[in-house]
Amino acid sequence: MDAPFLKATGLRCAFGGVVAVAGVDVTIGPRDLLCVIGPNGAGKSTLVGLLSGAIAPVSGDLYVAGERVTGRPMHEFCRRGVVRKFQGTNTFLTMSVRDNLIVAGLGVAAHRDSPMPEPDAVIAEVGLSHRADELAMHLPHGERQWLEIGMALMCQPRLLLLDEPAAGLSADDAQRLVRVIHRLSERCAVLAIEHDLGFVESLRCRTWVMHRGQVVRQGTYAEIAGDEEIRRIYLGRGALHAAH
Amino acid sequence: MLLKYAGGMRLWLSQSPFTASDRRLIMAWVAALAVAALLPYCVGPYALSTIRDAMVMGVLALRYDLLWGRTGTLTLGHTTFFGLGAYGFAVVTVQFGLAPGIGVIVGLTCAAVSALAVGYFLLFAGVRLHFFAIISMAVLIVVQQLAMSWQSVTGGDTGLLGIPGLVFEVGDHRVDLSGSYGSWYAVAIVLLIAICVTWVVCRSRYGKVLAAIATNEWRAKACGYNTSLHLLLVFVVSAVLAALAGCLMAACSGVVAPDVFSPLLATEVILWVAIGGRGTIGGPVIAAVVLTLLKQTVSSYSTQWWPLILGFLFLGCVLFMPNGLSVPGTLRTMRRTFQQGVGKAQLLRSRRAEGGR
Repeated sequence: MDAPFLKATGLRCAFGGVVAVAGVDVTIGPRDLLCVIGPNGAGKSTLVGLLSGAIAPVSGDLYVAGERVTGRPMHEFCRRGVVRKFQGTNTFLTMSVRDNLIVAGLGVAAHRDSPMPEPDAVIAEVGLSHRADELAMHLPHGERQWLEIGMALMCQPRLLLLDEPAAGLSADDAQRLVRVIHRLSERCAVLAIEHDLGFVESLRCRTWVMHRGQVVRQGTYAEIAGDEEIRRIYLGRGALHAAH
Repeated sequence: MLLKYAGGMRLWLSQSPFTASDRRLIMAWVAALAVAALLPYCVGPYALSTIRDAMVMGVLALRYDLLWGRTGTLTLGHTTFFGLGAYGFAVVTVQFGLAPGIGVIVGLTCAAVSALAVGYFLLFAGVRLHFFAIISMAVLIVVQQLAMSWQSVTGGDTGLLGIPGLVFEVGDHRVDLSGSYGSWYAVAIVLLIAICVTWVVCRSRYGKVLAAIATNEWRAKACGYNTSLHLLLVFVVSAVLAALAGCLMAACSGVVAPDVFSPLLATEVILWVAIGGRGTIGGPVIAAVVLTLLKQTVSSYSTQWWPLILGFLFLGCVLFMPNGLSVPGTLRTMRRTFQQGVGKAQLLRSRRAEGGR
């Protein structure tokens, strides 16, 4: 087995008195595809924040490619290949789609030997060729999601952290995203956080369930979906909502 | 190593292809260059020196446009570095009797070092927006107090008089830029070169990175940029540019007094940039030159009217032309006004003036 690309031990993070992530161990190999599910407030987004360096953990350690990076600023995580796609959309609104991608690519490219990916190729990959010269603020929500994904790709990720990538996407787009993620996972590790269980099912990958800041189950989606306790804390509630 | 460095420069400064509007802009600046070259033969010495002093203010406006217009860093104390440049030059030449060349170097170094110190502690501590503006104002007041109190060096309230002009001795050659023609050309060349370099940097990829940091700093950080470092770099460069304007001012007018640190001048610079159009490079420079000349004219009739005129101009600008006094921008705004109805449009525009574009 390959050496893990990212390794985290005993990650803990609290906001005031609220413990968002309570001692999580993560090991992600260079080509892993992993999905994290869990009810609202389970600490999924905080986990992504911790892994991407946006939040410094209260305790615990983080290693990227064998190097300890705990407490380093976020831009250093990105330069080492830990790239995050934000929940919702967080782009440079007053700039064109192409400029968004160029800016996204430059920061990392300046610290790597490999050249910057060709912006127009990435634009085509995420299906925004017809929008390349439009301002990001004029894009509808779904296309901004694709722009976010394109920006993450420009950063030459080694581990891509996707925070709710399917939110706001149509069913067709979500299926396209599944194909893109599968293609990506041949190049780099991918960790996705998702609410939409149909989407997680179609990703067919290792799945973790988070509850109250801890990873309570690991396994394939089928195993998770068949687990009675998980049904109770997560899926069951969903079923209850559906029944109403 | 050198090759890698050059490659990095190419990566950052690579330009997008020239468009028709770029070509028009270059033509405009070539025309400006021609006017600058010929003007000394067309107007009298008094008018020439007035326009020259106004153009020094143009350099100051350009520097502020780089900082506020490009990176969105609002400061109220940018004239600190203007004054430091002027005082650095004056103290070295008058009090120590050294050559003007050394004066310029000392003035610029003074500004660069203090900008580095202030900028490092503020920007790396995450101080932004109005907090940054207020602290920079405090720095300005401290430096102003220092200039008034440290009489043995700065000359106190009266300031320093009899500052020599820009005379450089390079080997056997003597470059004299102290006369009315010489100082005119010195100022014109500095202004045009500064505009040119700023324009090239701003339309390069690096300019896009700065614009990205201004719009969404958090996102830029997530793209691997050490945003504080980039902001510090721009802060120091713009401080040096301001100091250069200060040196020119001191050398051209021959006097420097503590009023270069006055908050009034600092406010005026913001107005120039706001009226000329943030981030447009040329606009603020033109606004600075025109408004300074206007100020001179109005002040010769009555000294009380100028602040009132300036206030109304700014108010009108915020309400009707949030992107500054540009012809296409104004036409666009007028069209939108008629489409949306007047009442709503005002609100929209004032919101844009607050920070949105």
